[in-house]
Amino acid sequence: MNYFSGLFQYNKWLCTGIVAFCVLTIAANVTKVETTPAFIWGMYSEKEAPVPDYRILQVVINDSIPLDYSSHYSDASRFYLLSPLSYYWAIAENDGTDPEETYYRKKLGKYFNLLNGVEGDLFNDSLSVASFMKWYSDYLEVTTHTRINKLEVNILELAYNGEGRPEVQQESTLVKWNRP
Amino acid sequence: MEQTVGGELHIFKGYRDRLCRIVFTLIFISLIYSFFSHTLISQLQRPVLKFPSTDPTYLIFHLLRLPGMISGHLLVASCFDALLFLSCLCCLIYPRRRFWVFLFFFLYLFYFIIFNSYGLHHTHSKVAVLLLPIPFLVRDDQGFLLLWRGLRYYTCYIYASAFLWKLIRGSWIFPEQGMLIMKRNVTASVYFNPQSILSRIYSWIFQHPAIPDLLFKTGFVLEGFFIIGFFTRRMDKYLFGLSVLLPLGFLLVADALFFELAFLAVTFYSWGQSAREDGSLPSIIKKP
Repeated sequence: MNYFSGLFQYNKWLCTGIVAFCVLTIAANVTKVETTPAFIWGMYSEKEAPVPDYRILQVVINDSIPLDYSSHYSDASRFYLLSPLSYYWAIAENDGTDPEETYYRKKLGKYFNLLNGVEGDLFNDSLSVASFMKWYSDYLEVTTHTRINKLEVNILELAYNGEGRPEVQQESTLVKWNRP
Repeated sequence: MEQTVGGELHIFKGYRDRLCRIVFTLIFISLIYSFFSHTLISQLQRPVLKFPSTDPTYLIFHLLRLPGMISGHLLVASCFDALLFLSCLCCLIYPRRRFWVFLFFFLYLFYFIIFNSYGLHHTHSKVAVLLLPIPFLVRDDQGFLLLWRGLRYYTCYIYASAFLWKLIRGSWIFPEQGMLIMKRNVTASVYFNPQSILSRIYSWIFQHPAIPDLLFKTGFVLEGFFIIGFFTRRMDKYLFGLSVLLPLGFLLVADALFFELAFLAVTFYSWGQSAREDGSLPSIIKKP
């Protein structure tokens, strides 16, 4: 409280701003709706559900070069190599519809129509999804310094053996792409 | 640094400028890292999928089509990146010229939103770079000191909040939590590089479930240690060390490098900090 009284003595408007930020942060934590800059710092606090196997993506460049996004790049590069691809996978698993759109439809119900006209600004439409692999290959070219003509993305289902090593249980293809 | 008879420490000449240079040197390193990681806006190759999610700030940015306007045009994105670097460098060279700090803060807010929107995940690693310039936005030293101390409290909040969430959700008593977090995040790395030293270490850890459990619980306790920071500054040197150590722990357990988050450790270091040990305000702040 000492801090806030000092802040109030210094400038009541600044103090009001900081208090509003604190209130917004508390509200964000209670409602679990993050509102930048009121962040929620959970840091792996959600209880992890045990799973029988782990699904990862395998990217093969030009039929021959496997992309090791897990260790050969900086963390920020890895984030951009994997996270958009994972979201593309989530869209594919959601029958080509943006999972966020599905979420909003469920939450808003009949009021979803209010978003008519701005849906394209908030959700990924089929056109964006269709142009994703072209973007991904362009980004890969810059990151890996390799000319990309073909891309194959596979889903690997891995289970750990007794020696703590993952082994492939099942493999399926997410997408195959050729440069037009 | 000057000490008065009453034991209160005054801000010494050049303290704010020095701190500003330290902060913007760290930020400049972060920008260089982004450049070599191909994650500056001009390097993103005009991304197509976006993720405003449910965050109202992101929603407003996307409704105004601001991220697309910048990232969708190479020339605009290149100018944006150049200005981001320039403003950071100017903050380093001219720490008292608040115009550059304002410009940098404004540009970095855009960068932060765009990076997370087109990265399709709202990561928190760059929050430190977004928040650290804020105290330098105010004109006078009193205001600066108050906001700097506020930022120190916010750093305490980050880790204390992580501690409380684990406590409330009960994940700290779940014996498999550490192991499951580790497996979820490092499986690809262990699979693609089975012969690397790190993969062998992980495989060995997976055969000894008590180790990841111990690591997770240790992290949980260390996060709780930051609650002390709300009541005293006496432990700041330990909190400084912990705020560097914990991001290293995230790297080991979750294979996520939150190195920018470690920048907030500077808020615990007393580079001639002008505040009394009991946490009350220095005399220069008190108005007559």
